[in-house]
Amino acid sequence: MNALALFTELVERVISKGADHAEVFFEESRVRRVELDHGDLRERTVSVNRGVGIRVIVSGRTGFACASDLRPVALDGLCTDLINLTRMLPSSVPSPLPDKPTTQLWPPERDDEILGLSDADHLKLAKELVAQGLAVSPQVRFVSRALVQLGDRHITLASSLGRLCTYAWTTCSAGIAAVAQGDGNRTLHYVSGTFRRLRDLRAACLGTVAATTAVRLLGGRPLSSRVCNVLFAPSAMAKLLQAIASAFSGEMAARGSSCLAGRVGEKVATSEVTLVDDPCHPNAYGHAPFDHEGTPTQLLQLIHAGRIENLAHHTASAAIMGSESTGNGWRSSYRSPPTVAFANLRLEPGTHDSDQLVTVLRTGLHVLDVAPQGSFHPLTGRLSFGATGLWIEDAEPVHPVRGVTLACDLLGLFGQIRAVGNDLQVRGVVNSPSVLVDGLTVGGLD
Amino acid sequence: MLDSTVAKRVIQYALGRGGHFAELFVEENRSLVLSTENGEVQTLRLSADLGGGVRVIDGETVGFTYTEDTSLPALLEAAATARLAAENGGSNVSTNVSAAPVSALERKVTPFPATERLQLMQAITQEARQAVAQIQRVTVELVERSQKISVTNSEGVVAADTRWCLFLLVTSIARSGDRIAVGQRRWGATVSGASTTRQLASELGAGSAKTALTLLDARPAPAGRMPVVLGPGAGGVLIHEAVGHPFEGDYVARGESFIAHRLGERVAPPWVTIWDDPTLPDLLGSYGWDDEGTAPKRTSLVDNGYVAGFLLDRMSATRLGMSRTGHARREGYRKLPSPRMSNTCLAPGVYALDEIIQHVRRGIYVAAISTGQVDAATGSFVFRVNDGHLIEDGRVTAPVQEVTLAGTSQEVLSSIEMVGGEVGFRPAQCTKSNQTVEITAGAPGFLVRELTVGGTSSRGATM
Repeated sequence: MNALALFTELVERVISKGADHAEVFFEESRVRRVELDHGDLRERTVSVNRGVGIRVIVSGRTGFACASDLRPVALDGLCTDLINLTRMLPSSVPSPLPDKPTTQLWPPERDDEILGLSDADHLKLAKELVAQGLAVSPQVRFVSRALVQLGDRHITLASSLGRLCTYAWTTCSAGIAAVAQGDGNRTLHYVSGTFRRLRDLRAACLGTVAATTAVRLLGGRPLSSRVCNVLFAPSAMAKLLQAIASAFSGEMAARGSSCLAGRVGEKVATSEVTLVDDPCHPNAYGHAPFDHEGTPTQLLQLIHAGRIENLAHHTASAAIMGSESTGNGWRSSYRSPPTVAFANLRLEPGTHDSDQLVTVLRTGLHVLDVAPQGSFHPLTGRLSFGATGLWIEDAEPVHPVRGVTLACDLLGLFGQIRAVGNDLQVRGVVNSPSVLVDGLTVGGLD
Repeated sequence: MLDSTVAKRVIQYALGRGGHFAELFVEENRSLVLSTENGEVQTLRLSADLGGGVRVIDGETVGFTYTEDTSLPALLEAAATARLAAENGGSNVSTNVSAAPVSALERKVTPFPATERLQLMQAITQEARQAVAQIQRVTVELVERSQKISVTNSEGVVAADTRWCLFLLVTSIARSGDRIAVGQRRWGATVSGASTTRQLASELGAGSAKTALTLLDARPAPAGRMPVVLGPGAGGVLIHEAVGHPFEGDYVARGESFIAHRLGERVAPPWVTIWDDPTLPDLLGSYGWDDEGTAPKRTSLVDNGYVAGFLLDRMSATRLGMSRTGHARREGYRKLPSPRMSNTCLAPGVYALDEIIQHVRRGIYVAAISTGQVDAATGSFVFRVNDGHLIEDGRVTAPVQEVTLAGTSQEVLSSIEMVGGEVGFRPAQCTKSNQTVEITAGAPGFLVRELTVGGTSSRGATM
């Protein structure tokens, strides 16, 4: 029996046990990974991962189960427990399954270079990253970690409401931690990137990037507290966008948990600011023809020319807000039900080249890296994060900066953008060019 | 869970052509996740997992693979893959798998009582709403998990452990006009059938609601360098992130940690002692055997101000020439073990919390930290405080809006000035290299002489 028939049969089995509707999401991946420690092979991992996520609707209530234990007896018991538990729920937030039947059986999108890379060449690729890092400067003392991961992935989705979708693709990713030392100071800078094609990973020269930044940040010291203009490097801005993306989730808005709820149509930034989610871009890491509910993806304008145009939706959030899914129902894996997320979030490039932006900044903080994880609350819109970078005076770097914090709110951040660079950098799910923001509060020394 | 002769055959096969060490880790895991918003169920999630991971070590190279199929042929195939992966032209050490006693720490695991759990979640919601009229939304998230593991290795270890945990996160959101504030409480237990009473519902529900109410009046926080008093428990998160992670053996062995090569050196005043102990009863980070089958033990990280030890798994202990401490942990069979914290604590001192606060003329009192991260190389950290107050003239006064604390591990260690007598423990989940494990962060109240506080108020405006 082929995979499609198998999962269609599983859907039927769940229905026969008493579910009104059912959806099965199957995911299988084979991932090869090497990790080097100080240039030597430390770990080589081969993992074959497969599992299934099952959503059911029983008497208007929604339940979800997932399993990697795919023995028939285990799966059968799990489905029975799921239906019984879902039925006894006192009430549950309506979470309908997509009801428009669609069949999307896409041919695989695989990079032959990823599939064909031998174990020896895989190792060589990781060693090249280390060599890139060490070649940057004698101040680069060692590359403590370098890893390269190659993935071959496949998903199948089947539902009792007539959805049947498959898609297969390859991915590659790398991470490198370079340690620089000089004048009694030491810095470690970690850079990672995820791609669809091996040639894009090679072209990103992540080893050079990690080591160059580690050296630039050597000897960093805190600033006194102040309000100043801030130029964010592309990777720093991408991390900030990743941190605040949940505010554009229609699911958060539907629950009253986003500060952007009710603000669609408002002008919040200069017309140079356009933020899109673009899973249709064929070379994007997050490229996919349909989301994890089987809804076709689309180019979604979140902010267009400074105006909020759309929030992102999956089936459930769209049903609450009386709109249509935008194809943003994604799962981190088969282990989670779909949630609103982004596959290829991009701040569109502006017109300024990055050297010109330092001149426009003239005096202020050039932020090369930020640590914003978990520091954003989508309801209040407040954001505070640690930053490292360079203090700039008369358009020239004066000294590296570390140990400062920046605080702002989401609308303030967008509202105070003065200029957007033309240096869009693509390294993963969220991508950005350089961005110059006026008047941010920097917390540092008294 | 798995016949021991099957496990031994897999180990022997894994070492067939070399390698000095092989290990089979098998896990069976069941979990229940429930979340409610204002008492209405948002999420019901069940999971059932079974799988095995095979690790082969050859010199300092690790080969690893895993499979969801725990039949003998599938495990042998996994063993062959791990063996190939580890092959590095290394040594060919012969090994035999000897019979060893099975050491099992069995705790009674009952099926998940989902109805009872939902009743508790609804009681929490009710307590929050009854306590504070301005509460607009209460979300309760519950995770309950039972996990059976077995570890068999080529050194004759056959260990089994049964673990159970229950974790609750309660978030109350208060609104008054345009002002919005968030209060949170966390709770965790590792003993099946732990008391989930009305009193617990009140502590979590009313507690989170009252915090949200207080924070409705929060002012913008000041920015700059100032003394920080961390309340009992809250400081545990700072100790975990800023001190604990750099003491994990993998960072130390790679030379990434600022504390590498500093064993025996003084890094803190004599009143600072920090330990990690996986053997404490009923704390979220506790376990009977670690995920390599090593018996865990309390490990001192800082002893009266001196660097006393590191948290070590097999690989890091070997590389550092030290003994394993029983701190190897893995999220599951899909991941390799690495040295992690369990229940980490700053040992109590002699002061009452009031005395510590009275010592500060102007500064910040931190009642709760929500998230944080540290760069182990430089020890630089950033934390987000979600329940903070001003200290003015030795008294805790107005609440402040979310602020960030920044500093370095060395700075915290060397500038802990006063340590309180009463320890608070906070259950939490800790993520490192994409692996999440349950931990407890413990500390009494303590004073850090100076940290960088990142608020939005311009300097001096609110102080």
